[in-house]
Amino acid sequence: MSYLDELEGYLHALPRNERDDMMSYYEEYFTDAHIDDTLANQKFGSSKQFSRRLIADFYMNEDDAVENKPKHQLRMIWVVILGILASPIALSATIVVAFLLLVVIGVVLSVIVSVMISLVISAILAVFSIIAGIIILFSSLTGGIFAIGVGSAMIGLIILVVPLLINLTKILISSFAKIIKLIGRRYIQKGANYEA
Amino acid sequence: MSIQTPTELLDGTVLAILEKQDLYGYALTKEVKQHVTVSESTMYPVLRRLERCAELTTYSEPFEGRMRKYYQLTQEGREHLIRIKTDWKNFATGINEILGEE
Repeated sequence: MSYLDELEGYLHALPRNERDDMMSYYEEYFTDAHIDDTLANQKFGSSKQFSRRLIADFYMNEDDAVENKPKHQLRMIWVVILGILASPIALSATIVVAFLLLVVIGVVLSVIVSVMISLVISAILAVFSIIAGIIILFSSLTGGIFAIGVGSAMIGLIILVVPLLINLTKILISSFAKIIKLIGRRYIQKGANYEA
Repeated sequence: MSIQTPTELLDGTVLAILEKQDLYGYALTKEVKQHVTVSESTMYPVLRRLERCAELTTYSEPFEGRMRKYYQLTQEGREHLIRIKTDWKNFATGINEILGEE
């Protein structure tokens, strides 16, 4: 299979019209520049690596152009990480990039996970408190009402806090997206230059 | 070289070349390479973006039994080029005053 056929196969993650446009550009370019499969491998790396950088590039630009949903941003983040991994980078830079990625991913994940866990635990506690309250109600009226009250107050608090947390998560994801784009722009563009 | 060409200047270079004549992908890339260091895969996203912002239009012309896609400057493209030229002049003057002289 030729380099370009392979490339087209790897580009299936892109929207149809975008992939067609990209393929016709590179088909024309390869013909005009007399790039055969061997030369293509030298210039652009393997078709898989090349496709990952093209996909990352596309989603970074897409992210600039439209108002973004977290789902799209998460996909962008993922393809950019793949794109960075598919780029030839100087060793020292690799360490820096890997470190940056790890730190950022670590911070974002730990914040999200700890918030989730505390939410789930407080929800469980609230439900238990209400159930316990109902059980106690028959032996101790005031104790039962108190426990039910505490449980309801916690549920109320969770309902109040959840939208805030959702917004916080969205902000976290979009700042993560911004950082990842900065890293991507810096290293994928440069890495695209296999001829160097 | 540790100075990378910013997007705005790359756009400017492409627009300025296309102001003189319509070109197809490979010829345009060769022309750009005479002025700034770009890799062969830098050009596609630039062209695609400029086309989306309606600063470029494309048309196809037959060549040796296949079609070649030519890029052509639009009125928006010309206006953007003028803005980039002014910005660049201001920027270059400032930097030249401090870095240009030995």
